[in-house]
Amino acid sequence: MAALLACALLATGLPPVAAQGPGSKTRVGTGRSSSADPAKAAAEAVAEALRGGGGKTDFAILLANSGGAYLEAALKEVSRLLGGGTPVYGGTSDSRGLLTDKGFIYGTTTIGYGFEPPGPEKALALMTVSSRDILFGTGYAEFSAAVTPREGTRRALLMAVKNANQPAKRRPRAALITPSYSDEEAVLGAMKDFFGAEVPVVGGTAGGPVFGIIGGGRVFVRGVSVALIYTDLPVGMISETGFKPRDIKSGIITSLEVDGSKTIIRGIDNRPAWTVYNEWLKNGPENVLKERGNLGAVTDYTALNPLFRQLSGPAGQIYYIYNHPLVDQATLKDKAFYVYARFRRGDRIQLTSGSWESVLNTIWSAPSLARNRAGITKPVFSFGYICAGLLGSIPEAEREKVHPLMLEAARGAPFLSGFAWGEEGMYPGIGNRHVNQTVTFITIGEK
Amino acid sequence: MKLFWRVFLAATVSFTVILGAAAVLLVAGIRAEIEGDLYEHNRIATEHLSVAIERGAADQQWPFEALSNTARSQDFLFWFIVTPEDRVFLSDKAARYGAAPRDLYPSVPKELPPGTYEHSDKKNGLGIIIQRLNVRGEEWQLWLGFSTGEALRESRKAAAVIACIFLLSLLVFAVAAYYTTSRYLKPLSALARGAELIGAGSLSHRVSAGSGDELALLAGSFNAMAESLDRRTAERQLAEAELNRYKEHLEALVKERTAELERVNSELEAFTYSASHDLKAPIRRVEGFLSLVESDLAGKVPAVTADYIGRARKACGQMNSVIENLLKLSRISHCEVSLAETDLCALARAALEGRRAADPGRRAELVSPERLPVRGDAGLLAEAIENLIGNAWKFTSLTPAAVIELGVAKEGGENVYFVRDNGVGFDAAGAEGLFKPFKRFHSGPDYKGTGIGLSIVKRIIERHGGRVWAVSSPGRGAAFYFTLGQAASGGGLRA
Repeated sequence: MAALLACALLATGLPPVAAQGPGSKTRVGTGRSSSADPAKAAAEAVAEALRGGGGKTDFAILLANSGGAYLEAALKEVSRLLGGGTPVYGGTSDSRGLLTDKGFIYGTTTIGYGFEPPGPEKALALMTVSSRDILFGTGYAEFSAAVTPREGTRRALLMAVKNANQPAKRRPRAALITPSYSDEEAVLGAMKDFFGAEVPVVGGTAGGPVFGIIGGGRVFVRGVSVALIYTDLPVGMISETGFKPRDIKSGIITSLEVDGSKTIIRGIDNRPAWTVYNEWLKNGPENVLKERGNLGAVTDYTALNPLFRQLSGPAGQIYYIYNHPLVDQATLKDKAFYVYARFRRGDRIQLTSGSWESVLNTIWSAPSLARNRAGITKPVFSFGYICAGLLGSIPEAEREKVHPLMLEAARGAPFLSGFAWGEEGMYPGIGNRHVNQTVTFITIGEK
Repeated sequence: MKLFWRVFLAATVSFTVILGAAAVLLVAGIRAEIEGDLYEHNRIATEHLSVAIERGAADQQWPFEALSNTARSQDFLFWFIVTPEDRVFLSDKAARYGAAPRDLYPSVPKELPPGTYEHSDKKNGLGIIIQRLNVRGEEWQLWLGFSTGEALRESRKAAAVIACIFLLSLLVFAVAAYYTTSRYLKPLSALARGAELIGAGSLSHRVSAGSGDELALLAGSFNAMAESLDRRTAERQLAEAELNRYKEHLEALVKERTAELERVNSELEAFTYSASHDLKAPIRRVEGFLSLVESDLAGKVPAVTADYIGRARKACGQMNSVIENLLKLSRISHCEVSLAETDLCALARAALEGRRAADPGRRAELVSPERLPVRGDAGLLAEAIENLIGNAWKFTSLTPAAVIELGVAKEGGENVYFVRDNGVGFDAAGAEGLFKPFKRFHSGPDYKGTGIGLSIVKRIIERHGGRVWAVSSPGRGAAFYFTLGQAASGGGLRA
């Protein structure tokens, strides 16, 4: 067998991802549980996923709305149930919950962002993939003082390639990444260094406040987890938002400060940035703060009024890179705000606004666009991330619509979506970018 | 019921019926309009949503906010977006996702007509508008359900407002009708009052003529009639006064004549009594002396003389009887009548026994009931029966089988008593003076009498308030009938 594989490699120069033919088959299952007992939740989710996945799996994605001991225990049980050799990719989602083709699995429906479910409001979802047509290579790295995000990402990518048993120069069709909060730009930079700008990324920053990134059968707080996808099947990807730019409200960044991964924008047109932003919105953010009295409400409000930079591709493509303006007590005191994106002094930023309707339509249309881009008529599965801010901007009474819309867009195929605190996606001609307020999805279809 | 109330009620009831019918029609119209507006509103909403959905179908830009806003309308019940597989794709309620819409609303037919379908479920107060959608070339449907209960509530509110207006109008109309009817019927009331006064005798009363309408004409006619009535009444009163004067004069004249007649009658009766009384004593003395002469001269005078003396004595006896009867007749006219139950049969039997005792050779049968009680003066009735039986006894003297019958018959509710015989009878044609004194139909030795008996009978019967008459023909007996009046004939017919 090894000789035959060697012959094949020599003949094509690259190893085939999977044998093609009438016998090829990809089985995907999803499972979920809201049990507060992580072992029980894992058992329920695995059982459900394997029923749909034909009882076996080569790769699994595990997302949960809560990190820490809960996720560690759940991962341990999932790994045990799936067999020790099954690679598991994933991390924490926003505490509001998760979404699969079977419906929402809620943690708590109202509180997101800084809320860590202390009690029974747990949600866990699992996707299992068994396929001769798709090869997954997983890797991870935990960042530390000794291991920078760039270095860690490089190591993780090496591990993934190795695990996929693919030559380093072979580019995967796509990469799933779960970076830690605020390390996204560094991770993307490292990926660009490793693969160049052509490997599209579908990434979702782990949700907090107790972050959890799954890699190597472990849960860690800061680092990156990577799953490279090798396949000859059609792969469609999308990174979309539901906002339309409004060029009438724009300004030049005149003062900023980079604090780690944060970019604190202090001045726009030589005035306090937070004051300018409030003027653009007729003091809306300040009013929300006065009325609701918490920063989470301000975050939900600003989610529908993000700032964007316009990027142009080599073929004339225009992209809008959205960033979610955030504040904490320190920036509020300085009448500044911050974003998790790279801005430079002199950049023009513009105000954009959306509505929950545009968000809902974007969530619906994103998987369809991904499918259409790749000419997929029969999806095998979809996976992606929806910005937690987008979910928060949809009124609770309307959120239930997300499930049937996405199921319709996925043509009924299995899918799994987390609610991320930042998204990473591919903008053709420009490359991968870390953005906010975005839906980023990958759909793999049958040939 | 007074005319005023009849006119008032007729006007008010008519107004109520007409206004009530108008109110009912108005409420029905308002309800239909509200329902129509409701359907129109929801149809427009459905069309707008459908256009937005179809436009957004290609790039998946559906009007979720508009759909959500639709749910805020007051009468909203649900909206469904239904797939070609007849399943709810989206709805305002997540619980309905995947359901078959007709399982939720079975009254909606499976086959829908072309175009927009409007479904009305009045039983459940539900309206549904179903609009076909072209979603990426497939036929989807948009269902919009709404409650028609609001239309009903609105129409009830309208009905309440209309009812208030109706009642207010009715009140205003009633007041106006009361005032108007009072005003227009016031002359009629005056006429009625005038008629009452004139009827009560105030013929000089006149009513106000008012302004020149029909009622004024009527008042004028009434006054003319009253004038005429007043004049004629005055004339009649004059005539009546004249008549009264004549009447009073006549009554005075009658009174005067009656008094004179009574005086003459009294004088005559007094004269009769006095004459009878005064004649009685000399005749008794003449008879006494003739008796003495007859006994002194017995056998001493020739037979012819003795016969003369005997005849003179008989003549005295006869005269004495006449005088006795005249006195009796006179007493009967003045005596007091004491009513008591008296048996006429007993009186008749006693009278007949007296006759038989005086003439034992005579045979006559009395036919009568056992008793024939009447209320009357026993003495007077005995005298009357005595005369009637005596009459019958006398005039059946030549009848071989004499029968005297006493009885009673009912005629016109009145007891008519009779004494009947089968004697010689008399010619009734000449019986006019039968009950007058000294009137006799038969003479000769066989039928002796004073000619006063029937006068006595008549006077006695009249003293009892009755009347007496006779029926007879020669050779066929005679019948004397009498009544005793109400007070005296209490015995009734019992035979």
